[in-house]
Amino acid sequence: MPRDGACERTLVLGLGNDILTDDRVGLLASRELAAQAPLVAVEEACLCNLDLLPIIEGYDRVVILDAIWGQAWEAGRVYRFTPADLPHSFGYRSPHTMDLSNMLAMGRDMGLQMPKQIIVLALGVVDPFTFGEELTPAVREGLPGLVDAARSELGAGE
Amino acid sequence: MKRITIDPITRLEGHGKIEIFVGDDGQVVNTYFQIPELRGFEKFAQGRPVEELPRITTRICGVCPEAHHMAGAKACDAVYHVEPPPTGRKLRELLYSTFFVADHSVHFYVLAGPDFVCGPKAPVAERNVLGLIQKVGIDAGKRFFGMRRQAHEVIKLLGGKAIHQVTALPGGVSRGINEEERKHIEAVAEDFVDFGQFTLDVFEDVVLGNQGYVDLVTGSTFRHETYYIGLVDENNCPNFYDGQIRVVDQDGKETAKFHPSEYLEHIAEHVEPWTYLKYPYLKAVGWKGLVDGKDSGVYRSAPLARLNVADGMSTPKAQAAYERMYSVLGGRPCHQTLAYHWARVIEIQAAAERMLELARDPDITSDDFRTVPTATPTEGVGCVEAPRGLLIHHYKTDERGVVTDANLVVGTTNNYAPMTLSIKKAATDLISGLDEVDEGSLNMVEMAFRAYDPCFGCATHNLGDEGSLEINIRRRDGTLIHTARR
Repeated sequence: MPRDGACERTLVLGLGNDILTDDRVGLLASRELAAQAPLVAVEEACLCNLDLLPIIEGYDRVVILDAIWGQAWEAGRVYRFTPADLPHSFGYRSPHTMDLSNMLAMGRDMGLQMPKQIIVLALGVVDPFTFGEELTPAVREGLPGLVDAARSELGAGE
Repeated sequence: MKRITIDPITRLEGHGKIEIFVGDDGQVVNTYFQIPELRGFEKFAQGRPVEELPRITTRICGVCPEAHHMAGAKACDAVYHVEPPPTGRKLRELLYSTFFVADHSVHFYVLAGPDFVCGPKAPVAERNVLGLIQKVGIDAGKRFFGMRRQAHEVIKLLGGKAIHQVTALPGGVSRGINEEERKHIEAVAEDFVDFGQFTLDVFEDVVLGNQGYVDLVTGSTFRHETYYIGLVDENNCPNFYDGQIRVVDQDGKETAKFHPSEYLEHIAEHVEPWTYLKYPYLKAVGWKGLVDGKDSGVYRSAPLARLNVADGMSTPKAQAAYERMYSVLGGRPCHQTLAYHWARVIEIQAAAERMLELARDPDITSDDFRTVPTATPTEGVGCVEAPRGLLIHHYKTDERGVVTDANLVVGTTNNYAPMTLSIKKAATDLISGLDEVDEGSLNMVEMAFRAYDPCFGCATHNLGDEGSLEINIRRRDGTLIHTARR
């Protein structure tokens, strides 16, 4: 949540697992952005869904940095989504399977102050499954692009 | 023979599948409760410095990292033959009590509660946490999420990270707390004690206030007479962080009490070829198959078992709730599976009260929170009560402290045989003879495992050298696209 009296109403949130090779790009990008833009609120999380609610509550705009994997997503390339663009899950089957849209709806239904705008910037990755602490080469080269995209997004919102 | 499949099973942590086989006469012949998850942590722990394991094993699953962190730290204490100073032990237990409140609450409000609040046969679209909040009130939802946020903040303060904690080390912890932090934790603990009472009241109003639910809880469909196991303190009260392991029989009589390091003398594991999860059982009684009763070594673990092995609770509000439960359910031990939900809500209160006790302890802000090990490392066992059952980490190292062998007996694993029994009985009673099996009836079969709050992300590690394998690829709506088999 934003600190009382602070001006930050935009949050950059890096998501990922830091020991699953390329799955850590969101975390790395958010750390790089925090170093380059110290006045911006930046958080990183290895959490999913339900547990993200208290982190994003109270912000007007949230820019999420994450990884995306699949045949349709080119490694090293940045993709931009809104929650409506993302696939929907089976619903509230368990805390792990709740998708972003369901989570936002739940927050709103409970009267929490949910962001008016959420942008997801995802970097196409090669391997988000293998235990490892190094990025694959294509993803290492693409990481600065994710940081640049986040910076542009922040500039576009001002 | 007809085959009914519940896949995926829902409102639990992890993945599993239930297969129900119904004969031509409409009677349930058998059920299979398969766990397809595989982790392999015991294998890749080998070759690692042992002090890394409390941090590595938190990655087994993201639901209960605190439990693995503590069991791992205690195993490291034993490997290095070192005892944490009182403040180190109390700081660990303070984090652990906070975690117990949050974790148990997720199960009641998000996973199991909807069955009772919305109704076991309510439409699927309503039978979830949102449906629960709409019935109990938005304030209940706000309290739940507020509690969760506060818990994450305290855990991050004490554990270094909100998830995948890092502060427990061999011999203690890496950081203490100052008076300002202590006061904050104390205020949160006071809120949690209120929240614990609120949750007990919700259970009383919604479940005990509904005769249909009371009949379900006390009926024969959800009942098994097993042995029970749990960690107890010197007064035979449950202690989630430390103690002796106590076993009682179907009449509540103690049949064993031992130090966790002796677990291999008392517990063995049976393997079946069609599932990756093993079946622990009591060695003294023996494996007699998937049956309950005095002659079967099948035992139960986790909330109801912990209260069944205990002579009372160590905190006053939890004690009052414990007495209420047994007076309603006809005494201790209670064999009614759905009473796990009641026991779990009592444990929320117990953990909150313990958290408050520790936050007010005069030792808690001391700087003496770690004893640095000096002995040569060898072998050690660490044991805690995870929310889902007894959790054991057993490590062996060489003289440098590099892991040569690791064995983890995980909470949910203890209850795999009981869950299998519970599912079969529920299916037999509820499905047999039905012309058409509706979704509500299948959900009631799922309630048989849901009472145990299983986490199959943690509880799996048997992979045979050969064996059949079936992979089903489905669309988002569940439609089967392709099946591959070997």
